[in-house]
Amino acid sequence: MDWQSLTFQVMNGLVWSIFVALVALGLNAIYGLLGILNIAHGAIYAAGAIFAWYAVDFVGNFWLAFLIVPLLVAAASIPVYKAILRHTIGKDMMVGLLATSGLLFILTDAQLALFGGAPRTISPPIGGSIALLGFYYPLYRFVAAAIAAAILVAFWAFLRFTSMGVWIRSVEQSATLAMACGVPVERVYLTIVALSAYFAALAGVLAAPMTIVHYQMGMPLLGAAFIVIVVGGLGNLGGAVVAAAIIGVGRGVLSVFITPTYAEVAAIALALPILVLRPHGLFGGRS
Amino acid sequence: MRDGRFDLIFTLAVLVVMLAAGFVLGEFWTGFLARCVTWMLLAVSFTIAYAYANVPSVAQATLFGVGAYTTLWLAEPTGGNLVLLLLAGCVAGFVAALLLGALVLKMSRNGASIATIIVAVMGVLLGNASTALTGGADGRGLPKVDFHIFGLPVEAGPNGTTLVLGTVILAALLLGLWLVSQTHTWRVVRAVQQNAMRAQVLGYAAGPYRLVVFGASGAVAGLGGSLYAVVSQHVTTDIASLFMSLKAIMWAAVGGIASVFGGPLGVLLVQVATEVLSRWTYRSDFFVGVILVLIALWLPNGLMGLLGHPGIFRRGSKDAPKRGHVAAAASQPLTKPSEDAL
Amino acid sequence: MTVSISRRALLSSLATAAAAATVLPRMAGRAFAAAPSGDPIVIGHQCELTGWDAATGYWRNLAATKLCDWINQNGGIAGRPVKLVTVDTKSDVDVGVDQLRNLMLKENVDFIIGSELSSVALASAKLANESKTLYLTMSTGAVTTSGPNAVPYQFRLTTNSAAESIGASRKYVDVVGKKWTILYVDYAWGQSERDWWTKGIEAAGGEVTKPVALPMDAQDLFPYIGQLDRSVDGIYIPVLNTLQVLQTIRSAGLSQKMVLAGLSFSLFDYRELREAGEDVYGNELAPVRLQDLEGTHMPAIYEALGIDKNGIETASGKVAGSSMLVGIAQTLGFLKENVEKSGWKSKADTAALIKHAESVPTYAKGPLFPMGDITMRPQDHQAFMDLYLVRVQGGQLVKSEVVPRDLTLYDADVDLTKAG
Repeated sequence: MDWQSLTFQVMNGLVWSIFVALVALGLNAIYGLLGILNIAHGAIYAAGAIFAWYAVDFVGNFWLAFLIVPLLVAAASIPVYKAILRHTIGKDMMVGLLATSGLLFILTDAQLALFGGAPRTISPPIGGSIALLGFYYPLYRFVAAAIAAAILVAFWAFLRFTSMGVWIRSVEQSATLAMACGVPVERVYLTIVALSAYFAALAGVLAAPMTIVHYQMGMPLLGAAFIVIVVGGLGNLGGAVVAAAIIGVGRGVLSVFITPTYAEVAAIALALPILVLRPHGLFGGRS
Repeated sequence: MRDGRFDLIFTLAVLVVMLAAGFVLGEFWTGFLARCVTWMLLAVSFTIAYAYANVPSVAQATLFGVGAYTTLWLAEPTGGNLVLLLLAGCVAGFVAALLLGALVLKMSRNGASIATIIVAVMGVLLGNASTALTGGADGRGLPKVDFHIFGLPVEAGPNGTTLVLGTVILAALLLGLWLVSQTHTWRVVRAVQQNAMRAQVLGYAAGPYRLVVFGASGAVAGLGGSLYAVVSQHVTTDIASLFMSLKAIMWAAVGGIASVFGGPLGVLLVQVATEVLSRWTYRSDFFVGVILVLIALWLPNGLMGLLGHPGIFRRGSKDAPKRGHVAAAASQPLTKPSEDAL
Repeated sequence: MTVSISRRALLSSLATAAAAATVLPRMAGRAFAAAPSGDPIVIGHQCELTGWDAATGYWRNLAATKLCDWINQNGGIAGRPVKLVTVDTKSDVDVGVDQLRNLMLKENVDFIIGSELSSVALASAKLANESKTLYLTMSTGAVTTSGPNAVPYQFRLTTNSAAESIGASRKYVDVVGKKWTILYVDYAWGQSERDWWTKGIEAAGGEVTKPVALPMDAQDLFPYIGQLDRSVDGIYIPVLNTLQVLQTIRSAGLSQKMVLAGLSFSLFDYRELREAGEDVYGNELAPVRLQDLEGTHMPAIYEALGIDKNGIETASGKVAGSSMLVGIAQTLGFLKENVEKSGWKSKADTAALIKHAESVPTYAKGPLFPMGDITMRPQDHQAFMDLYLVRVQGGQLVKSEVVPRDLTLYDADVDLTKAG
């Protein structure tokens, strides 16, 4: 038994899972809190990475892109919410799915026209690797995971300790009662959508130096993000992290013993017994 | 099923017009529409799973793929007997759906949806790795045999014969579903769909009803896949992908999710629009996206909504989700797992 | 065409002709090509303009469009103009097949330049064969011209994974070393590349240890890259997400030489690799820089396509997918030669054209065979051509070695000359 490899895989799985939880965070917000099945989430993630590429190319500074790009994407989501998404809230989830499918087509085609079909890269803002457990591990991965963790904690604190956070939680439980208590429900919906777009774009910016920048880069992650938020419990941030960890660590550990494809299959299959035993997900679906 | 006679007649009329158009407009459209018919079956299968088994299944394309590959593998052993092949596709889809249903019906609605995503992803990964069986992403061609149905020769491929065959099968299916909807059994299915616990309390075994309905959706998907293999003569793992399942959902939603008659309309609108637009621009996806958004905004009940169809939840229904309650409603299992145990 | 010439106009037109001669090489035996006339020869082009393979489709589309213009400026084919009709497969099999039928049934094309995707090509070639339309596949999957997939109405004027692996692997045993591992994407193309590369390396006296399969669409590559055997000299990489794989391999501390599978440098811009790209090798049909293309006809093609001496397209700033350009050029060259020499007039003559093409063993270097002579094997309608091992060195993609086409031969498993 190669304990060193095994330990490395566990460590990598944990690091990657925090990042996946960040990718899922935006989806958790819009699906868990608003019930909108946002199929375009992956395209927003890709948009974050693409705009980051342009920003780094023109300005030469990744951290500036990290600060500005998600804000721009969030700002762009406001008219989209007002024109489209707001009219799908409260209706059958298929309506939201249809609207966001349309947005997916529009965004993806626009990104292809603007950026082209060839993949590109962004150099990690923090270079170098550290020797760890017989492997070299890029420093940037640790930094990205730490930033992702900080964002998750900050959002949790936002929900817990700010007025808007309380409003969001109250609207999620009962919009009618919240409205009756004077909560500005429309503003809450808008905030959730903008936050969802912000987090998706932020995840894209952070991911770009670790993966590639491509107009379809969000598609493979969409399935994983949905799995993680439901297995963790809709609306539950910690649950998403734990679910991502189970799958990420599971994949890494299994790949030591079986072929990578079977490891990938088995890792996501781990979610099935959880969904049978815990129908609301690991942590019950409340934030 | 509250679709009514008018909806059936309307949809059958659309199919007749489509069939005529396929021959009038020329060989290209004949073949194009022949493939569309196979996708109509896929869309109908999703509607059955979602609207009547309460499973937002994102694995219908996987079941479609099961039917398609079954036909590929059995084409030679059956000597091209299409009755056997289509039946085999149906049965394979039904059995696969039963197995999947036995698992997902123990979960919440969201959980069931995610479980189907997991199965869809697993299916494609394994299918791509098993090149010898499936041909992987490159696919496998339909063996060259003399296909026949009730002794009549059928030329495989996108042509008039397969268009007629597919349309007749689809029409017969829709008619059959309508006839079933008039029965007492279907009222039980609807009762279970609307409130499984209430149905259970009234003495109906909700779990088995849902399982059989989900199995039926798999049978329809498998039938569609089987027909697809005959029309396309080439099957790749792409037809069983998550993206294909999402397309099925999109077609069903465009047509109107509350009615099995909506899916065929949705396929026609989206696919014909895409084909026509692509003659004019390479940016056809962009314009299709705009069409989808407009349908979501103006026709939330889909095209069938234009016929005054109320959708799954009638206005004022207690079952209709309220604003702000969507998340809470969506996360509630429609039945408790223990009551659903088979 | 009659021209009224003054002395000044004559000098001006001669100067223009001289300049144009560098762009538009003279046709043998004619000082100025007559404008083509008559019914056009319609060539359909089944191209990935959108979808995941759009990056390579960009170059094939550019090459086909500009080279057809060039052909028309130089007398057309058999004196007839060429009309190119391009359709988008969206990198999808069903769409690709529908568009193929569109080309055959509505556009009534005479010939088709096929898809680069094996799945689309496999489905399309059969349909084209049934409708007796010549299909010139751009797919590089070995399976496309093998076994039951090899059909009479299909030819391939680009290389394939078998030829590339067999030929290049022998050179790499000398250039890189004997011990190899493979990181391959776990689907048909990657598995095929793995098998052919292993055959080639072992035939050259090397060994391949513990190949690692990468699940398709895997986002986190570390669990798999961590399993690569670090004792090897080289890593062969037939994957789709090449950029990400290369970056991850380097950041994981592996310093082995890396070889990308066939024509991968057309999938992405090598400059995106930056430091991680140093000493990465690839197998291509042509190098990219003009200084590595001396003695070839590629400079003329570059001029026609607006590509500068460093292989960068001026309009877009993208690095040329040189292998895509060569594949399209050779395809058009094959068509031109065989239409003209077989006396082809209409689709009814395509069967005779095929028989003629099967009797032509070599196509000589020329404007549409820019890199050199190519050999056509009649048994499976597969062309063989020199391969170029390229390498990123000092931030540039440079020519490293040449693999003569004779070294890329493998046994055919079908004989189409015996088909009716």
